[in-house]
Amino acid sequence: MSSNKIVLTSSDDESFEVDEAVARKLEIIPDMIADDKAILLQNVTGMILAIIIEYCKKHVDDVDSEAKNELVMTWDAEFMKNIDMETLFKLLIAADYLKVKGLIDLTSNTIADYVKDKSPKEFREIFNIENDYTPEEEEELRKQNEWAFKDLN
Amino acid sequence: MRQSPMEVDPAESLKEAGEEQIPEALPLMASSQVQIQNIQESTNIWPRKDTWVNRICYETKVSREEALFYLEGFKWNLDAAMEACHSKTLPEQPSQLNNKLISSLCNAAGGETREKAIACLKLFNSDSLRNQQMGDEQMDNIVDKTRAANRDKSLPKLAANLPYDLVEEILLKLPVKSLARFNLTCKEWGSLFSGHRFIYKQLVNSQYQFLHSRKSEIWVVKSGAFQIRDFGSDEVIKSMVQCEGLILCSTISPRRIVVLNGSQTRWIDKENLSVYDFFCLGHDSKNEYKVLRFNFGAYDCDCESYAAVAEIFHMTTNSWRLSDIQDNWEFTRQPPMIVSVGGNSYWIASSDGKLFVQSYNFSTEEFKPLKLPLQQVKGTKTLVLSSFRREGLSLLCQRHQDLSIDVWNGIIVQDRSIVWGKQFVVTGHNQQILYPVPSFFITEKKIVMFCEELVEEGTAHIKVINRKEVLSGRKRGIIAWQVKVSVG
Repeated sequence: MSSNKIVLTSSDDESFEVDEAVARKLEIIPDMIADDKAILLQNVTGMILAIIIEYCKKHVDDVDSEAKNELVMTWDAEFMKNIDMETLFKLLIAADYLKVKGLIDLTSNTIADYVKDKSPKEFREIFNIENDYTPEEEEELRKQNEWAFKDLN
Repeated sequence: MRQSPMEVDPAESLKEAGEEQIPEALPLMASSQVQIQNIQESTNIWPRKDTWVNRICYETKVSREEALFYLEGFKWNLDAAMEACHSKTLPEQPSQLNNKLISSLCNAAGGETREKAIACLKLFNSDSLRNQQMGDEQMDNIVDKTRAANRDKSLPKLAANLPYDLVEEILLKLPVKSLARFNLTCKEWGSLFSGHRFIYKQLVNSQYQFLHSRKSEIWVVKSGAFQIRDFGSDEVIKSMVQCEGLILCSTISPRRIVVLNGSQTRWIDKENLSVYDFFCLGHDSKNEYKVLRFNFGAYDCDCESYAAVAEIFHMTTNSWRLSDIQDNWEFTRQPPMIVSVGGNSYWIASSDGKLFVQSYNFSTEEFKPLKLPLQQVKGTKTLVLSSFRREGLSLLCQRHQDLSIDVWNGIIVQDRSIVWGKQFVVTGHNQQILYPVPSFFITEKKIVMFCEELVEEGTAHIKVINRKEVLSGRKRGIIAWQVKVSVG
């Protein structure tokens, strides 16, 4: 099988040469692969693009099935561990733009895990939400959802 | 046909269960009890990292923090971490270095807890989690940021630029408990979680799950059994129906009805509910949710009047209206098992000895009888209806005589008829009569059944019948596992 190489260039002029199969994991690409073997991705920085490419290389042989290979999942977990939260959010936005389905799921899962045990207050801070409940309303809601606050420290 | 029940070791059965991604609909419960049959495959029931902590805790009885410590120390190598927990061998250097870093962070940031320090590390510098060596400069950098965050008492506003559907992607992965908490963030978000689109998406994304009610509690049974509601000992649940993420319960005494989703609860005011009332939950083509209450007219001494009645409650206008009733049919089982597909309700009924599917259409607000693939089945049988892929129905029929199971799939055509096709047949020597009746649904390869009983606190029986094995002619067709979870 011939392996065509495609060059992906980030918004800050970093270029990455990858196999076509890897590039196709970015599902926004097939529309863009026409004559050029070089594609400019204006909305993604080099740092983020590098991470995405690393993911795609690992997952290039993925079969879209229900059962996930345990080795791959271990790799995924480790991969996510090494990325800090700020970058994770940027990664999610980029993965969504580039349409890398598996990575969108993986990243949002990781963020969800990070967020899930937070209190409403912390949640507001992360997502930049203003609280428009009155203290009474909040107390009432809290009472109604008592069971959800049980093992929150 | 000889059946040989096998000895089952509960611990063994735990390890040999499987977790599947089955993004299908949510069937309704009936009460039953089933015994564990042969244990079949050996697949990992803890495939996800966050459940590895649980697994270690379960098997080695260490605390969660300790399990996490070992897992991180051994770079998430489950076997090594498990071994280490058993033998109390400390992990190697790199993690200890991290620990040093974390300790100094704690000190520098003014006595912060470990968890906060680790959280800050994650926020500001990923290298620290990986590198063994850290320059003083880098260290100072992190310490400064941590101090700043600590001073502002705030976490950085990471998600400010996140487009709405990505926020939804994250929310969809959150467990129900978290969503209930985040209801409190602000009014808009509170309504977000109850928005139809969100509920629908939750359904799409959710792994298979069964609902089970027990006295005043509602449980969700997935890979574990989770209690999502407890109405308190006064409100014992009599019946439960669901539609696309919304659940309707009726309670026994006092007689009330309540609609709830993962995060919100709404009691509906209604006087004079009869103990013989049946309820359906659904929505019309405009996604307006409604509740159907109907009664064949049985005498209830606690009610003022008794007559056959059908009433519709509109959730948006908060009002009841009378509707036409057809009462020339009967339920085939009590309590009735009502399935919701596409906003309409379906259940198995009989009339003059003939079986059919009775349906209630919430758009036209009428009853409509539909065909079953079989009108009469010779001999005693177990007949169960379920939903299939949100657009159709599945029918399971087990003849008690030979214990074979037929599975049919039905496509609902324009709310007027059903086209049934036989999916597959399960035969085999080691079957059992599914009694009482299970809830189930089908994926390509398996039937997953919850023969509802939480056997002890937090332990549920789920049966999986693997179609693949049936087709290849192997004898043992049933896998069963016990799902154990800690309660409280």
